[in-house]
Amino acid sequence: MWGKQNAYWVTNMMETDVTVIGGGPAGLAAALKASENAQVILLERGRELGGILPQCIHQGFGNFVFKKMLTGPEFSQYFIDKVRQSDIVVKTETTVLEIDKNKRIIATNSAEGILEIQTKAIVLSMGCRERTRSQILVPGTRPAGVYTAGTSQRLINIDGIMPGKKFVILGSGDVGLIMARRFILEGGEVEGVYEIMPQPGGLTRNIVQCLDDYNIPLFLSHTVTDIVGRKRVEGVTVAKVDESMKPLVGTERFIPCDCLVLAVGLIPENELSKQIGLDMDGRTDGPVVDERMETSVSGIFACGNVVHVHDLVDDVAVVAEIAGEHAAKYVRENLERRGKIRTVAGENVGYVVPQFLRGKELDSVTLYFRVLSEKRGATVIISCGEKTIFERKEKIVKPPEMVKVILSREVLNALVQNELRVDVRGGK
Amino acid sequence: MSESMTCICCPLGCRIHIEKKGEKTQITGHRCKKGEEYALQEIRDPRRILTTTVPIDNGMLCLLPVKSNKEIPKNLVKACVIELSKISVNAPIKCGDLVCKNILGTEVDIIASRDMEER
Ligand SMILES: Cc1cc2nc3c(=O)[nH]c(=O)nc-3n(C[C@H](O)[C@H](O)[C@H](O)COP(=O)(O)OP(=O)(O)OC[C@H]3O[C@@H](n4cnc5c(N)ncnc54)[C@H](O)[C@@H]3O)c2cc1C
Ligand code: SF4
Repeated sequence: MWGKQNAYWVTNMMETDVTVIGGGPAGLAAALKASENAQVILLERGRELGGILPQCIHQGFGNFVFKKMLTGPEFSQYFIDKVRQSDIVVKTETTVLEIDKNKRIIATNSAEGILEIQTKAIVLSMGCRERTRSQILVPGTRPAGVYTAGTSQRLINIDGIMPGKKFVILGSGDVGLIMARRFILEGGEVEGVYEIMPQPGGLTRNIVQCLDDYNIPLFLSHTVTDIVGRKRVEGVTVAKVDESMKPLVGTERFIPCDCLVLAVGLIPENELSKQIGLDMDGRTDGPVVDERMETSVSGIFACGNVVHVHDLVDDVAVVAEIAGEHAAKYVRENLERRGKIRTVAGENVGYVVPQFLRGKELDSVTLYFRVLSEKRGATVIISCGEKTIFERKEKIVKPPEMVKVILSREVLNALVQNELRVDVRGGK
Repeated sequence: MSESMTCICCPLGCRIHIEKKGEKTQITGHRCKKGEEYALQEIRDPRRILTTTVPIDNGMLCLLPVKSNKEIPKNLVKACVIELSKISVNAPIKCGDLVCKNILGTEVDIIASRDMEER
């Protein structure tokens, strides 16, 4: 039978309350929470559940959710076991191709062909993907031996393939730092990590534990200006950059290596969100959401890295539960949408999530935001019109580390204007 | 003597300062007890959790991620990884199953960090 969009020959039709798209930690936690009060289908493109976590074999997950440190596989195992014990319908190796505003989902897998799922609510949790060479415009030839950090992680930790012997890492994002240590432990050599910004992109603990522990040098304000090699990478040229990030003539240095690893950041994977026509935030590259993680289309929720890039999976699990809970609630009784309040990124703030608040059901609301530049002794100030409603002195704030502020219901109920401004003032 | 370090016990990564004045050791900057214990340990006997993979026969995947059930001396991490590259295990495996007992005499065990079904 032809699907309603008339573009696909639908071989299987299903109906449900809540459909969750993406089976990473966000999707798993959202599906579990939603399944307490609704019928749930979980769709995952990959062969197994867990999202990026099965390849993150290092320790560093779950300190806040489980009060102990777990590896990525352990963290996801907990959620996978729970999902298996629940009555959630799980479909792996199933890719969602299309979603429309009426919440009709078109997905495909090799066993069933084309599925059409009519659902009452949707949770988007497609995670993010890595920036690639073309997005950062590294010149030079295109030999083999250039990998993103996540790809090299998958090759080593899942497939057992060592992608090179001598590595240069461009970018100091967390995945790159984690991989620097991994290359060394697997018998490789890491010449250095080169970061174009004057400060590191990854979490401090990864700098300490992955680079310092192994004496791997980190070169700040440096970039790769050329990749040399015909069939295989033979080396790269690195150079210092000035304040406007332009390479400085005369500082070039050639480094022989057979592998260049790009750890230049992640971008939310939002083709589906854009195709539905959700309002997007140009600063997060994710859909705009309210405090219940509902997007601009009612009944469509989003959580995890698809909304903005999180550094901690614990935060992902927390917001995913909020999304799942409210998706189930929407199915039963719709959600209240009154008194829309916008959150505004002010001084030294890159973005604020949620972008707006409009419900009354949560006892407290957590605002997540990132600063633009590192400051010691700055003050976080949240204000509504002339009135300051929250103030906190911070020992240190840095772009790689998300800042959180919890606002109580009493404080929110007392707001008189429809704009909440977040500033991080002062500091050195 | 004074020393600064970054706590690696959790993603918060508190900056901890240790000040030694004669007999007294003063620790500041940590946000929880774990951080204080870590700082003391780090100056006396630095240890790390080891995570790596071992080959697995008959499994859904060809590698099994493993970790040490306790921290091992920092200077033995590399030697333990080399030791583990010599072992292989058989599916099925459950998360937490023993993979290598008392690795290199450290009294630390290496355990599986996920389930691995048979192929
Ligand atoms: C290398 C690395 C190291 C990290 N280290 C830490 C750490 O030490 N501590 C910590 O707390 N956090 C860490 N993180 C962060 C943490 O892993 C992420 O915050 C978390 O995985 C985000 O979860 P997610 O579910 O949003 O996305 P993901 O885990 O990316 O999952 C998204 C899922 O959606 C699926 N999907 C996408 N599109 C479709 C589609 N169209 N149809 C069906 N399925 C689809 C994907 O296949 C994927 O499985 C790390 C991340 C990386 C990459
Ligand atoms: S001191 Fe406590 S809160 Fe701070 S990083 Fe260490 S474990 Fe985390």
